[in-house]
Amino acid sequence: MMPPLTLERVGVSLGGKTVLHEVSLALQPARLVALLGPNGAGKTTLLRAMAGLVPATGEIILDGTSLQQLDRPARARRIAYLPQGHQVHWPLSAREIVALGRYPHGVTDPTRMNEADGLAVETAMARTECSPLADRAVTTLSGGERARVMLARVLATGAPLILADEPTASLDPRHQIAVMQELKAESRSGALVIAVTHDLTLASRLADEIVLMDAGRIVAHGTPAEVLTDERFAAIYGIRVLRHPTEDGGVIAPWDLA
Amino acid sequence: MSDSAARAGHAVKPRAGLVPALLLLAVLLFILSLGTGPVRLGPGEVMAAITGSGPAENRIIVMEIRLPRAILAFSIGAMLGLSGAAMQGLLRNPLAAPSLFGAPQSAAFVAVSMLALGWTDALGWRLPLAAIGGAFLSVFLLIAVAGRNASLLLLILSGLAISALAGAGTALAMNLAPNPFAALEIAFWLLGSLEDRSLRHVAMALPFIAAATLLLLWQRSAFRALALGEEAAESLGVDVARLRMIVIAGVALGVGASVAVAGTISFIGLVAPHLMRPFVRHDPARLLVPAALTGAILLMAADIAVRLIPATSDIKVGVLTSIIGVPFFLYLILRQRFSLAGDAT
Repeated sequence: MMPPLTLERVGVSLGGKTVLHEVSLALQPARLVALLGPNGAGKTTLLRAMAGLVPATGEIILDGTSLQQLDRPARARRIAYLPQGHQVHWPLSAREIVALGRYPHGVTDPTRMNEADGLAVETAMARTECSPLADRAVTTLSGGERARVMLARVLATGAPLILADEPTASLDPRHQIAVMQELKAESRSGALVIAVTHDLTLASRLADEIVLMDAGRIVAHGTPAEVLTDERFAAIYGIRVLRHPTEDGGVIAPWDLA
Repeated sequence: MSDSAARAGHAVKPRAGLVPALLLLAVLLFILSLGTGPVRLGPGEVMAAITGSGPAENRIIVMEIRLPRAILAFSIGAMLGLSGAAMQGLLRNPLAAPSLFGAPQSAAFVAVSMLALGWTDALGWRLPLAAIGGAFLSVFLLIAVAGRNASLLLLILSGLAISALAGAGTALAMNLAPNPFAALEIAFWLLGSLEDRSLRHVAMALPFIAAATLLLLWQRSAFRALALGEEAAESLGVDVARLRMIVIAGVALGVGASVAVAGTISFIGLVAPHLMRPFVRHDPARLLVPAALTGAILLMAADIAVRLIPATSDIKVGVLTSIIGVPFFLYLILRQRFSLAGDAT
């Protein structure tokens, strides 16, 4: 199968400073890819470049089509982007927020959706267990509930590429696991999911591949076992980790400064 | 799962009767406005005058004196309400007003300069055209200072600078006015009024207001996507930079034309969207049309009120909207302050 996502020498400069140095990467479909790296490594910038949100040099090819050749709605149907922070500015209902996931498909009014759009919205809400929240204003939801609604919004698009920027940040442990498992499930149904995370254990247990970044470059790309070595933790993060082996990747706990 | 999916089609319904109810109220106020003045006319007499029957003097009063005033009150009020809702949607802030980017102030400045220089009188046809030109000028200035792809913060700061400049220019024009009468004419014009406007004023303002209305309603569903923030909206396919320009241009066009024929009328743009927000479940896209109708209702009501309030000299409608609007603005701020603890909005 052809790689759905190929990055060729993708570079980004912000305010005269190069924050992404000609990154090249090829990723297969139906994979959960964890994007790791210290703060300021360029993870969010890489994600935003892939989503077409920052001007980038080089080429980003999605299913054989260059990203620059796609018009906005076409790009939005192929790439679902979950930004950090889960902000919502008006007290819209959870269902209206999730229905925004169908906006790229032409749903401009959440009260008038066709059967396919309605089904996509309800399925996404059921999978993230936020159907009971459907009619509540998102501004009244807890952080965990809101994260689930935002995840449902992204799943409702049905995009083959999902980009999630720290989807587990500020969530309690249960919701961290639930969100990552849901992203894993979405990858198993065919999507390529790329998630930025700082959770080494969840990355090592659930991700099929790890992309490790530092100072605007990709420094390693492979299976968790290949990438997450003690030497790299020391060199890239400047930390020592404690490991506890399990059958599915093991626990990796940041322990001390290296 | 499948049964809950079947319910999806009729999920969250807005209040179905809202727009017809507002329209009905607007029509009633419109007829009331045609009947209110030194010569009071009942709805029957008004309808007779409109359809061409009834006494000739009633026809002249209704068609030539009061009809332009009522049309302007309706369309300017609607424009202000719509502009306010669009600005609040764009800025994701319930306290945003149509004057934020400096268009009405610039329109007022150019109009006042014309008055001070004696190039036109307050009801002449050159005044509105110059004022609309002033509103356009503010848009060019805004883009020149902030840039075409400017962030909201840059746009707000630039708008602030342009407003201050226009305000200073207005003060200077009054300062340099050739005689006290010119200064008085300027001062009264600035207060905002719909008195003694003719159908020519309507013909001058209405095309711009209509164009602005279409412009602001064109991308309305994008305001809902913007609720997730600019970056998420962008990822959903919204061209946020273009939307900003559409709103800035639409507001300048419509509010500029409004200022041009009526002077400055404030707070309608702030109050109207706020009153309607609970009725549309806070949806910034569905808010636009009800906010426009509410703006029309508020300005027509205020313009009827200034004709009914007994006073030695007539009260200008712009003064009345400010007197009612400021306490409301304070109430909004206080509510925002007390809701910060529990509510993220």
